[in-house]
Order: sequence, then structure tokens, then C-alpha cells
Amino acid sequence: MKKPSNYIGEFEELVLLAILSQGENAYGVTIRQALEEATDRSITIGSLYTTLSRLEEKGLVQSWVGEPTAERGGRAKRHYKVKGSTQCLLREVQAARQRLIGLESIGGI
Amino acid sequence: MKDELRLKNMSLDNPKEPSDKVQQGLRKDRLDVLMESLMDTRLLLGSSSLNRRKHLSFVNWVLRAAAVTITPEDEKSSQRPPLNAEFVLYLLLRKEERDVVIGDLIECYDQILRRFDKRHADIWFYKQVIGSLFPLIRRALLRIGALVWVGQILRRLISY
Repeated sequence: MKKPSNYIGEFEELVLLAILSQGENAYGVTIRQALEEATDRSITIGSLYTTLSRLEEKGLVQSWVGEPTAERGGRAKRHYKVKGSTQCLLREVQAARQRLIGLESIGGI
Repeated sequence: MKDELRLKNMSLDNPKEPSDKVQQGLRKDRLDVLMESLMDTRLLLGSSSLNRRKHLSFVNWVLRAAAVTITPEDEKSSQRPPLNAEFVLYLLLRKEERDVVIGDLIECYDQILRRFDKRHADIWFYKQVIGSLFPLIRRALLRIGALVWVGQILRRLISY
């Protein structure tokens, strides 16, 4: 079955929520730390950045490069922000999930 | 005694001497060790047939060598993440991602280094690189696969 264009996977959804939780300070390190704390599993930087670049290709997030800092060996940070339309999509996904949980509880009875 | 004082002044107080770099770069304890070894060298040379000027030039040479080999830059570079692991990432990452991803890793590496030690930080770095191999290689293969697929379609269209 072909995936719709606004389809988001489980990890993509988690990454989007982590970006939202970090607000203005959302970049690789903080997103990874937020994900590790929330999911209690180890996240490698490679898997995070492949997901972030995929989300950017889908047009769900936007990014910009910050100023280089000394603590990063003179390398710049790439900041991420979730687009407004993506927030609507996330709400839809969560609403669908709630509906399914409701159906499951009815079926369970 | 006069020589000893001169030697100490040369290495610690006189900024124009080559030992100025040593003074900047070395911690006090390391400097003491260096001074002790230089004193031993001086005693050895004192029993030889070398005259005083030659002896002092030799001590100067040792101090210069120490200044070159132990400087803050070198101390810093020994605290860098493993270069071979960094190079693996460099090969697999996209050009625009390289600086950002490696910068993120260096930031975390420094945090672990401060909390634990270099060995633990290196292990963490290797773990990150090994864990990143699969998603990065898969992405590269998918891109190659997509290009091959587009190429096949174009070839069919041209052949018709």
C-alpha cells in the first residue's frame, strides 16, 4: 500500500514532539537528549539526523544553521523548528490514536 | 648553585627564553618533574668534558624540545575524539551535515570527558559511530537504488 504524503512513522513522530518540547533550543544534542529521556532508549546521532533530513525533505520541519561555537570545536549548530501545518498533522495523528484506543476499549468490553 | 639559579630563572621567570612556552603550557607539577630531570642532566654533563657554555646550550635545547612537545595545543589535541571514527562519519555524511553532526558529537564528547575520562568518552564516540553506520549506509543505498530505478525507466523510455 502506498504511504500518503503526510504519513509519519513512530520515530518521526517522536522526533517532531521532541523538537516541539525544546522550543527555540532544538538542535541535535538537545533533541537526542529529550528523546533518550522520554523513551529510555539509546539514540544514535546517525539515526536522528537521517530522520531529521527525511522530515525536512517531507517539508514537516524547517532548519537553519546557527553561529559556530568554541565548545563544538568551531562548528555550527543546526536548529530545527516544526512547521505550523505539521502541528495540525500531529494533532490529527494523536486524535486518530485516541479514537482507536476508544474502539479498542469498546471491543474489550 | 649559580647555574641552578640561572636555570630556574631561565625556565620560570624570563619570558624571552624558550621556556616561556613551557611555563604557559605545563602545569606546575609537570614543570617540577622537567626541572628535576634537567638538574640530573646537568650533573651528568658536569662530570663530562663539556664546558659550561655547551652544557647550558644543551639544557636550552632540552627546554626547547619540551616546549615543542608539551604545549596546550597538544594537550587539547590529545582530548579530541578518535580521528579514525570521525573520518568514517565524514565519509558517510552529506557535505552539509558533516560540520553539524560532528559538532554535536564533539559537544557530547566533551561533556562525557568532563564527567568521566577520555577512555569512556572514546568508547561513547565509537558506539555512536558504529550505531550510526546502519542508518547512514541504508540512506546511501536507498539513494543509489532510486537512481538506478530512474535510470532503468529512462533507458526503457529512450529505447521505445
